[in-house]
Amino acid sequence: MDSLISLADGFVQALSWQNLLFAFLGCLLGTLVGVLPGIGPVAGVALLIPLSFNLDPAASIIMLAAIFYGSQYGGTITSVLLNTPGEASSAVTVIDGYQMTKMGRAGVALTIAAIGSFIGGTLATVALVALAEPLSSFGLAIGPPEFFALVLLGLSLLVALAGKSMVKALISGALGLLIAMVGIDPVVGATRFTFGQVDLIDGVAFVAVIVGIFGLSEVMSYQGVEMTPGTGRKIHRLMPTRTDARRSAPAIARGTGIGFFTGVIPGMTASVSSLLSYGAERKFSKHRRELGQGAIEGVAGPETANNAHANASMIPLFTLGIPASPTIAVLMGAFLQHGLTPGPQLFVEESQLAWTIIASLFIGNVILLILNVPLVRVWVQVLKIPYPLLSALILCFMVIGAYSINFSTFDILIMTAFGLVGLLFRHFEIPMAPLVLTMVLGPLMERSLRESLLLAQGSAEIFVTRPITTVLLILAALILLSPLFRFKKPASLNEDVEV
Amino acid sequence: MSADDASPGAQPHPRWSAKLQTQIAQIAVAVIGVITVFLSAELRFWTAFGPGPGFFPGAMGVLLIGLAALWAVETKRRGFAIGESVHRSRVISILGSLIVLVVLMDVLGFQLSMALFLFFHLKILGKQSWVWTVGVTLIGSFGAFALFHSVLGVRLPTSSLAFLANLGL
Repeated sequence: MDSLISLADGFVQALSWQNLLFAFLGCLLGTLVGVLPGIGPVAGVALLIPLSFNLDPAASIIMLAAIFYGSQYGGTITSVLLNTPGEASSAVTVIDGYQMTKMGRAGVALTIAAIGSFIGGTLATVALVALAEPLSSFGLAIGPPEFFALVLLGLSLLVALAGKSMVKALISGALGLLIAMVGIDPVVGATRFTFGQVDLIDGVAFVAVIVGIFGLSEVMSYQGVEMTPGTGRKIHRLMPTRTDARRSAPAIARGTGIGFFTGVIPGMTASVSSLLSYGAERKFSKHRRELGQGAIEGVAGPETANNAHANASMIPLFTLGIPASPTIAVLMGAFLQHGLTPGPQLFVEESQLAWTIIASLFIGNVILLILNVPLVRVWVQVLKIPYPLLSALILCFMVIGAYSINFSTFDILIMTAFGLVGLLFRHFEIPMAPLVLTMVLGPLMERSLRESLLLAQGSAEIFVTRPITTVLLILAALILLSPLFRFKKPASLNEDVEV
Repeated sequence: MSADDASPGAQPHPRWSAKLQTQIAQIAVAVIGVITVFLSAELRFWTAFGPGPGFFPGAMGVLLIGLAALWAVETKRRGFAIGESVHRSRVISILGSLIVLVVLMDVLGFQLSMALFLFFHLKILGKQSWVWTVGVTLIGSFGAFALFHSVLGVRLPTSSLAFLANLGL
């Protein structure tokens, strides 16, 4: 009941003209990020962080969160119309979405994707409201050893699920932790790894690293995409028929469930949820034989799943302070930049802000539904812009974003250097997600480890004498040792380009 | 793509090259680990109150050395996995132009240096028409400066040369 009262208060704040404007702007930019090749949601959100410094924290986070879930829908447009996924999470939509376009049903495919995204996103946010109080109460009850074990468990899951090789994922995670340690030590205040460089005393700028490693490396490695003709196809009918609605309903229900459960598990990205949803349709749909030939279930299920995932992945961030995916880690970085620590404490210290952001997730899903279908033709025009023009503008924006962090050209150099690192990661097939997560969580993890050891006067026994800590650490160890048990993870996780 | 299981015709790199590149990367990871351990030792691993500032990075350094060794073992078993090759000239152009931009930005200010940067990317690299080049260059340099300064309150750098700074550049 308390949650509903707080949510109602959150709606009052979220419906202010300023917050509505930034939710709208976020949805618009998010869809653009999803539509454009060469820039994904991770870099898209990171780029906007420095530019939102001067905004009110609520407006800033509302906009950045809207970019994230807006990008999921943006990717659908290119999947359906151009046979080219704008985002990895919409890759599977290409199969039936483009077939529907060839059948003259592009408008119906996009509308059902928007409706499914709205239902999935809204229901996942309802779950966030329901779970906010019990989970954050648990979060408040735990001490530094439990927090350390919880973060370690989350990172273990991510490392185990990221890419083809756990060794490479661990290398990425360890490098992220090392980068996070540059600057002033969080416990005694000693400077570490600054090499006499004043610009490094406050640490390596998180945004510059993310923009470099995800954004710049993508622009540098972009090879061009062969667009399948279809851009010029007319979008005749937008509204689905009664048969379409009847066929889509079970797919949307399954997509919501899959998206929700994968959203709360660290390491599971939106692309995995849409792939699993498509797999569920192939198994359970009454019309499974039509999949691959323009079946509406092939669009409704995956598109619902990736949006439900995007909203559900906010649950561990808001309630426990643990980001479940790279984009959520960047969002956590935005909270930290505004002096806010996401997690259970947020509901105590900044309750109104937390509920305003949650309320904005509902509003954002409505905005996406209203905004996207009429704007489809505009997005198609955006895709006709030649890539050299787009890449030049993206680079210009990256430079401004990196410079604005500390108003220093040093951060542009950091971004450039990490662009090269990102390129090397891509070349050696080292997943980037663990680096981002450990970079954000590194200082919190180190502080909780050292505080735990200080509490126990240097004895590591504290980690085996507290039941919750012990259970969480055993689970983390089992996950990391899973290759020894010949545990085989789904092939879709190996090919997940989001990590 | 695994260099071992691809057909010779489809290989972007000769087989030895993939092996050599991977080995260099593995050595680089190990070297980062060794340097980290040495630098951490200077920061003190342990204090009278428990772990010191060098404890966590030291542990990461040791972990990196171990992981580099495990990576080497893994590649012996599974083969050398490297991704598709990129256009080297494109990478060098972008990295080089960004470094030049940083050098020029402190001297010429954001507007002129960004105008040169965009001109290079649009006309010389991108081979775009003059209309598009001039339009996007003006929007991305002078337009962006005005927009970020007046709307978002983000102050982009101006020239360190007095005569340019006096012109608002």
